Amino acid sequence: MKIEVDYKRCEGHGLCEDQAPDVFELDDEGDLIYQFEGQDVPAEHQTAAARGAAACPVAALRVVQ
Amino acid sequence: MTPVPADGHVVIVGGSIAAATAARSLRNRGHAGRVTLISSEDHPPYARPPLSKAVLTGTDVPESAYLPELEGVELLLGVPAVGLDPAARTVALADGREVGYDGLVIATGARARTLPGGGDRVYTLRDLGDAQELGQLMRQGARLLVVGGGPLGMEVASVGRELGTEVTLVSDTPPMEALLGAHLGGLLVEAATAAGVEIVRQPVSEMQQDQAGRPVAVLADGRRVDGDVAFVAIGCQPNVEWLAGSGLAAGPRGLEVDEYLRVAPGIVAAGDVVAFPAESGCRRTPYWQSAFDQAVTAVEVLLGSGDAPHLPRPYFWTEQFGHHVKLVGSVVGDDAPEELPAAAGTVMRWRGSNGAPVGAAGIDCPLSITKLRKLLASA
Repeated sequence: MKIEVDYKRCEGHGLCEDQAPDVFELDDEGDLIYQFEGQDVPAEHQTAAARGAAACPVAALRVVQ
Repeated sequence: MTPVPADGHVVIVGGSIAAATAARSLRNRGHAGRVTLISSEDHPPYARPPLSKAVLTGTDVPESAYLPELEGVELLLGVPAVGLDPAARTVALADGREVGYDGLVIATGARARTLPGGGDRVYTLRDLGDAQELGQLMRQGARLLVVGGGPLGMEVASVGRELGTEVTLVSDTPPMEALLGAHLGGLLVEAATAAGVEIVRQPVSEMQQDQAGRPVAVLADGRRVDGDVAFVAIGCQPNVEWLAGSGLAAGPRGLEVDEYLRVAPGIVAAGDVVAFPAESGCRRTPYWQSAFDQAVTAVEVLLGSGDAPHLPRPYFWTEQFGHHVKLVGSVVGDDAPEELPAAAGTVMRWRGSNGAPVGAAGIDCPLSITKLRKLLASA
């Protein structure tokens, strides 16, 4: 499982971070730091990552298989 | 409530974030039985916040608002649910079908409140079709009459100015004040005025149509304000009519639940349709974060896998007139909030009567929800 982040859409609300703090983090500038950029999400983080992606209110996170 | 059996069929009625989150949570929690999502809309579940923003301006295509695809969920799209029999555990559909369930999640949301009259150029904004139609008219330069000074009215007014159209906004109360208080609401009103929106503070007594077919708002003081198109944003009302005769506690104020989001045996609810217990009786909290959190809790309760009640964590945001405002918790009436140091933009905090922080807002400030919430926990 991979997650594609559309950084242009991201508005820095942080609902993804709220759901999956080990996967998504917003820095003090409000920029999203996605831990597994360009990689497969490790198995132990997949459920949380999918939950975080689904919480995004601006549909900036897409789960791709 | 007796939990739904592991192989039981769960039916979800609704088509936005609460419904989609419920479906995903069922699968995340390992529910092995069938999951069916029934939506009156032709689109798969999508996010509504972009409808008054990038979808309205035409920057983004409608499909960009689709929520992540749901795996292992049967979608019944374009078929409204029209009835519920809790004793027989069946949902009746508009096409005559009946769908049986072991567990039911009611997430039918809310629809825009409307004003009678005004002809066929009066719009509301709730679904993708509305956003496309209204956006197209605004991009063609139609003069816009906005009725309502809440977040939706102000966001659409903002988009109108961005697109270069003339905008008049009529509101009986100071715009944005109900949600953001007099101080912060006042800042947004200043920004709207500076952007060229004419704000008229009057109740609308009726909508009429002039001889050219244009919508006209007749105000309480007798003045008439017209536009090429009117956009009415005076709140939403819960979609509960399909529950008539079901015996559930559903009415104009919403579908009443307990603090575990339980409605009846085998039935839970989440999202804009829900009237959740509060100090002053059950009330609706039609916001993204509520819908999401309620759906997660409702599914845990339905499956018997969690025993925690739903704990409201209010979060609201708006983008208008060049400003991005995020609020966690709630504001306190007319009180001037304290301003906190911020690397960029402004951070405000409100305290309740006992001195404890109750609300924090970031204005053009990049702090995420998690960081704003910390401002409520500390101090």
